[in-house]
Amino acid sequence: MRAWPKVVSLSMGLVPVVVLIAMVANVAANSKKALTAADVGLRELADTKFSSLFLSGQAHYGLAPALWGSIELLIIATTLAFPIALAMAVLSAEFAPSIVGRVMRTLLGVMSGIPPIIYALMAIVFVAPFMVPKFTGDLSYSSVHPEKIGFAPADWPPPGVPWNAGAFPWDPTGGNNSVLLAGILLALLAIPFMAPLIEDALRNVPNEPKQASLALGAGRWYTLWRVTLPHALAGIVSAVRLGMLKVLGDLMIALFVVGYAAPNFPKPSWDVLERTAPLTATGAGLIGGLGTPSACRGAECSVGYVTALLLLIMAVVIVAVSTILERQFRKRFA
Amino acid sequence: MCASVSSTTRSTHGLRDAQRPLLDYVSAALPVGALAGISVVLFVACLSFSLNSLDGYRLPAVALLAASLAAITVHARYEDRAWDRGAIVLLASTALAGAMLSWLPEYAYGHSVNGLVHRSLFTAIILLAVALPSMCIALFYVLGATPTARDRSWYPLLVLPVAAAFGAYGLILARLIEKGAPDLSWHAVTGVYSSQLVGSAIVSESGMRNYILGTLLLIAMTALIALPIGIGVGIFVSEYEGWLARIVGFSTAMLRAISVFILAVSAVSLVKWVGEDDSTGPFSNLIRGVYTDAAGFDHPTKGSFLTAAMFLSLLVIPVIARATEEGLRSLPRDIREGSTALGATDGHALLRVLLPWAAPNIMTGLLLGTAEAAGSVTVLLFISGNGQYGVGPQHESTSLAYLIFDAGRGTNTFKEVMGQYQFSAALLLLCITFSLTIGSLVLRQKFASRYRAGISYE
Amino acid sequence: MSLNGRAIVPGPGAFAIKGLRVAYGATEVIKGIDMTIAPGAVLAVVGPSGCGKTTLLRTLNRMTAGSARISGQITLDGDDIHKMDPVLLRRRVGMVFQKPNPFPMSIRENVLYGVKAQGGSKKSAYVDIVESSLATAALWHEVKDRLDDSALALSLGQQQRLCIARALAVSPEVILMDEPAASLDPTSTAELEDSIIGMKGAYTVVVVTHDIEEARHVSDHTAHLSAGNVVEFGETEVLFGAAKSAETRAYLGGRALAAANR
Repeated sequence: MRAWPKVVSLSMGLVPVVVLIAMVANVAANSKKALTAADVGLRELADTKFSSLFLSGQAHYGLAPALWGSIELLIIATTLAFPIALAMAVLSAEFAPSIVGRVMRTLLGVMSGIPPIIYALMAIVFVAPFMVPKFTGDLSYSSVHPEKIGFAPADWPPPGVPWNAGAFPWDPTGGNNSVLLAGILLALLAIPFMAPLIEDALRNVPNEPKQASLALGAGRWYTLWRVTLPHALAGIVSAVRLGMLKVLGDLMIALFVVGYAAPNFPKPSWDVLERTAPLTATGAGLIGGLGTPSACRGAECSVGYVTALLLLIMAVVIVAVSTILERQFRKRFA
Repeated sequence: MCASVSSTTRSTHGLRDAQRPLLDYVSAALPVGALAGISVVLFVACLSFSLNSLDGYRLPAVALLAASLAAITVHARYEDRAWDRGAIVLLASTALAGAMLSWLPEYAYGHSVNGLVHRSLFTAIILLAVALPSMCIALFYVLGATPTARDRSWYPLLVLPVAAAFGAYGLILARLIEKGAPDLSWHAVTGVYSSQLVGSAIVSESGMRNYILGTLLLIAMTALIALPIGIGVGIFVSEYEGWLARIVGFSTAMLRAISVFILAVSAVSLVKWVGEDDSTGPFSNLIRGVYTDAAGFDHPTKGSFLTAAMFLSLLVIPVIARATEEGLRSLPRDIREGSTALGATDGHALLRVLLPWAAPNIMTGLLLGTAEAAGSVTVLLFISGNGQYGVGPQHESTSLAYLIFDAGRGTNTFKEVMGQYQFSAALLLLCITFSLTIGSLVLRQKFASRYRAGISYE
Repeated sequence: MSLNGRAIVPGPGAFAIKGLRVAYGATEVIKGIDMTIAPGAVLAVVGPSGCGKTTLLRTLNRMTAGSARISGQITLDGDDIHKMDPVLLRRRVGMVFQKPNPFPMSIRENVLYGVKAQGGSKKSAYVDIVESSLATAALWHEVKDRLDDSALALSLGQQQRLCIARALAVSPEVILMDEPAASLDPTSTAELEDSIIGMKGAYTVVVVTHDIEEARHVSDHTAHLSAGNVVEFGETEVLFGAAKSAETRAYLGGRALAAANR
C-alpha cells in the first residue's frame, strides 16, 4: 500500500503516452490510405495542383501549396513576433524602470488570454476594411467602395485580368484576404507567449559578466548585444520554439482570414499579398468542418489526414531543431 | 566633458572665427531638424502601410529622409568628429531605396493584385527599414553624442515596435467592446437558439444561453478531467526518475507541441469510429452525443460535450503537469527531507506536504490552461454543433467560440439568427478567458516567491 | 570614433574625495570620507567586513546599485565624476572584481572586449594591445600560445589576471580591485600581487583587501576603514610601523598576528 502514489501517478502519467501514440497512429493509418489509394499516391500529394472538384472527378490533391502556405505563415508570424517580443523583453528586463516592466508583464499576461478566434473576427471585420485592398489582395473592393481607400486605381482591372469578386459571401470585404494579414494576426497571438519567456531568459543571465562589461566602459546597449543576449540565447531559442508551436497550433485561425481551399487553388507563391490556404484550412475543408463527420469518406478525407501528418512533422522538426540549438548554446555558456 | 574637449580642439582649428557662433547654432539645429524630418518619414511609412493614397508621397519622403541623413553627416563632420559611418551607410541605402521605389515596375500579376498595392507595401517596409535606424542616429546627436547618448539613442528601436503591438491589442479590444457591448441585453444572454426561428420578428427571440452554459460546462468538465491526470503526470515526472518518467515527460511535452489540428482530427476519428455501426448504445451516446426528438426517437449528433472536454483537456494536461512539476521542484529541500525523516509514508508526504505546497502552481496552471481551452475552436471544429439541443455531458457540444465561428461560416439560417451576436459572444468569451488569466496572474503575484525571482539589474 | 571625444590622457589619475556619504535606504554605509589618492601609487583599503570598503570602491566608478544615495564630491584629475558621463568615467577607471568573471569568449577576445566596446582603435594595434596588457598582468608567457582558447579553460588565478589584463587593455588611469585574491590559492595570489606591483607608476591602483599581509606587500598607502569612516590613512610603512590610532594598531596588529599564527 505504501506504493500507491507511485501506482496512481504512473497510471495518470501513462494517459498522455497512450493518447499521443493513439493519435499519431490514427493520423498515420489514415494518411496511409491516401498514399496507397489509386487516384492519389505520393506523386499526386507532392504536386502543386490542388482542386476540390471532387464530385466531377477532376480532383487534384497536390499539397505543396498548402505546405508552403503553412511555412510562409509560420515564417511571417515568427519574423514579425520575434523582434517585437524581444524588444518587449529587453525593454522590461533591462531598460525600462521596474514599474513599467511590471505593467508590461501584467498586460501581456492578460493579452495571452485573448482567444485566437477573436483575433480572426477582429481582423475580418475591423482590420480588413481599413486595409482594403492592401492586405486583402483584392482590388475589386476598391472599385466598389472607393471612399474607403482614398481613391480607386484608374487602371483597375487591367485588361485580361479576370474579376474575382466575393469568393466568400461571409467575408465583408468581398475578397480574399492575404497571407500577410493572417501572419500579422498569428504574430499578435504569439507575442504574449514569447515575450515573458525571453524576459525570464534575460533575467536569468548572471549579473557578473554584465557588471564586468559595464566596468570596461561598454554601454548598456553594447553589453546587451555582446554579453546579455549571447548568455540568454538558449532561453530565447526555447521561447521562439514555444511561439512557433503556438503559431503552428493556431494556424487554423488563418482559415477565417484566407478561407478554405479555394476552388482555384493558388500555386505556391512568394507574394505575401496573395491568398493561400495553410494545411489546417485545407485539411478542414477536406475533412468537412461544416458537414457531418460521417461525410468524411474516401480519398479526400484521407488526404485531410495527410495534412495533419504534415503538421505533425513540422512540429517535430521545430522541436528537434530548437532542442539541438538550445543544447549547443547552453553548453557554450555553461 | 565631450563638449569641452571638442571646443578646445576646435579653437586650434583654422575656421573663420567670426562666423563661429552662427555656424555653431546652425550645426546644433541640424540634428534636431533631422529628427523631425525622420519622424515625418516614419509617419508617412506607417500611413503607407494602411492607405494607398499616399502613393504620391513616397519619393518626397525618401528625399526628406536623405536630407535628414545629410544634415546629420554635416553636423558630425562640423563638430570635428569623424565621418559617421552609420549615417553614410544609411544615406546610401536611402539613395538605393529611392531608386528602387521610383523604378519599381507598375506590375500587375496574379488575378487580384496590382502594382499600387505592392508599391505601398514596399514603400512602407523600405521606409521603415531605413527610417528607424536613422532616427536612432539623429537622436544620438540630439542627445549630445556621448556614450550614454548612444545607449539612449536606441530607445526608438525598442519603444516603437512595443508601442505598435500594444496599440494593436488596444485597438482590437476597444473596437470589440464598441461593437459587442450594445447588443448585450438580458435577452441576448438568456434566449435560446432554435432553427425554427427565422424571419426578422422572431430573430430577436433567440439568445446565447446555451453557448454561455456550454462554455462554462466545457471549462468545468475539462478541469475535472485534466486536473487529476495533469497532477499525476507532474508528480510522476518530478518524483520518480527513470526512463519511464522521461517517456511520460516527453509525451506530455509533445502533446503540447503537436498542432491543435491533430486533436481535432483525432476527435473526429473517434466520433466516426464509434458511429461506424450506427448503433445508439450508451457508449455511442456518450461519445457522439444524443438528441431526442419530439417523437421520442434518439438521434446521434456530431459529438458530445464529454468528447469535447476530453480533447480540450489534452490541451490543459501539459500545462498543469508543467506547473505541478515546477511547484514540486520549488519545495525547499529541508521541508521535503523533514517530512520523510519523520517516518511519514510516501503517500502521507504527498498529501500533507508536496501537494499543498504545489497547490498554487497547480491552480495557476489550471486557470491558464482552461482559459486557452475555453477559447479554442479548432478542437471543436468537427465535433460541435449550433447548440440547439441543450447543454449537458451527453448533448451535442457547443461553445461561445464555436458560435463566433459558426455565425460567420455556418448555415445561412444560423447566420441570420445568430450573426447579430457574434461580437457580444466574443466579448463574453473574452470576459471568461480574461477572468481566468487575471485569476492566474493574481495567484502568481500572491505566491511570487514560489516562482524563480528575477535578478535585478545594476 | 566619435565616441572617443576625450583626449587621451596617458598616465595615472588622481582621485580627490571630499565629504563622501553613501546611504542605501536608511542605512548610511559611508559616513563622510575625505581622502586624496595619489597618482601612480597603490592604495590598499583595509577594514572589517561591512565597513564600506566595497561601496567606496564602487562609488569611484559609479557602479553602486541604483538605490544608493550619494552626497559629497569626488574628482578625478579635477573633473567631478558625477558630472561626467558614467561610461566615459568607467573608461578612465577600470575595475577588477572579487570573483574572476571572464566572458565566455577566447582569451584574445576577452582582452579586446573593452577596446572594441570603446571603438576607435585600429585593428592593427590589437596584437600589441593584447601582448602588452597580458604582459603587464604577468600572464603573457602562460597563454601566448593559446590566445584563441576559451578563457573559461584557464585556472582561477589565470582568469583573475586575465581580468586585470582586460581592464588594462583600454589604458585606464585608475584600476579598482575588489578583493582580487579572495578566491585564489596562495601561489596565484603571489602572482597576482606581482602583477599589481608591476602596475605601479603607470596606473593608480586601489585595492580593497582583507589580507593585511597583501596590503603591506603591494601598497604604497593604506587606508583603514571602520563603520563607514576612515580611521587612519597614510603611508603603508608608517601605518604598519606606528599607527596613531589604537583601533588601527589593534586591527593591523591583530590581523597580522593572526596571519603569523596561521
